[in-house]
Amino acid sequence: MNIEFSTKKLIDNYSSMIFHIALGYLRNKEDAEDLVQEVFINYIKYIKKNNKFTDENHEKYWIIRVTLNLCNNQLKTYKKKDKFYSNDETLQEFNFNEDEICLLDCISKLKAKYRDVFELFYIKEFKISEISKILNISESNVKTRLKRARESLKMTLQSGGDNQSERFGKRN
Amino acid sequence: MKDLEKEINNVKNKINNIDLDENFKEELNHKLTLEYEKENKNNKKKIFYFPKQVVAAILCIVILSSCVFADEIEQFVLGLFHNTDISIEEILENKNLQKFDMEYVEKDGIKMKIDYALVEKDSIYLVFNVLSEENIDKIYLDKFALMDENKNIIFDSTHLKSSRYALYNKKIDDKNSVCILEINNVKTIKRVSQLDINISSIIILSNEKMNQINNEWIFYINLINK
Repeated sequence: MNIEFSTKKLIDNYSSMIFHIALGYLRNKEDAEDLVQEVFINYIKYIKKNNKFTDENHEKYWIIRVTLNLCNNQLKTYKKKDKFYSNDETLQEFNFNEDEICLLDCISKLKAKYRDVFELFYIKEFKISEISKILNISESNVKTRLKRARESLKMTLQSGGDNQSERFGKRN
Repeated sequence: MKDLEKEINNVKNKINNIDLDENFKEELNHKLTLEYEKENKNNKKKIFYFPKQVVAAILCIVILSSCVFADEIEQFVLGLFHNTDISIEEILENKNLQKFDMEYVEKDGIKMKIDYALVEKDSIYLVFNVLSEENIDKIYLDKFALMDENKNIIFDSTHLKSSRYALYNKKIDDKNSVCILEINNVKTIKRVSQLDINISSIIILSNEKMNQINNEWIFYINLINK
């Protein structure tokens, strides 16, 4: 097997997907890039331990699961260090306005199980059936989590809106 | 709500329009190729290749023999959970036992953390605290690896080395179990200051049913060699 080719194929197939998921979570380009690398290193270690993927979907879903886990771990580290404030500056470089940054901030405050479903459904536009397979939960469970994520987000935006306004000074 | 959906849509479009730099991709390709080769070299260090059944049989013998060897240590570590804090403090002083106050790492509904580590000569004992949403009768660490601060693999359960390991279980309650991992013949363990523990597969035994879970539980602990 040509190693150069296989790693290149891996990068071509999945790097953008991982990067976009990570960016939605971490809101920091450099950290999202680091996470792409970490996911692929985990992938190499996984296959070198004689683990095999049955098909492309199996591989893709495994990669997404690892990405979500690493993102959630990274978020915990952020929360400890209160790093999100500095991350917002990097989003402004990509023309995200304050409302959009505020929305991402509220998404990041969702419980991990709601955030995962929300990100996959809204940001990466996966189907309910796909999310069900990725997260290994039933489709009805995905729908319930999505509903609760929307409700929770709405509540956070309404009740936390005041805090967000204070933070940005402008949000109406 | 419509505004919210519009805003979500805007965020989605903006995120998905940010591309990775081609330079980054090239650099990543290079790094991954190196990583792949490094893993290949690690695998080549294996001298013998056995079918899984043979490996399982050898491991059973090794585990059984380790059980006899480590009986005292097992009693000692298990005893920690019956003793008062004072005696734990005494043990901490007299033995190289370290207590960790870390958060659980949760994957697929299984929460794990390391409560204690003990380094004795060329052996290491790690005490895992496992919480599950489902009942746990026993937990087995199926695939795991230990790395030092320089990312050198000092133990890999999937590789046959001269090191041997054993697992002991203690049920705290239906959903909480303590799993003690003992690894012997780790010659370099005394020189390790930071240990990276990566568990990639566990097997949970509940009501005589086995459930294998593949994921990544990663822990970092600092070892103080007294």
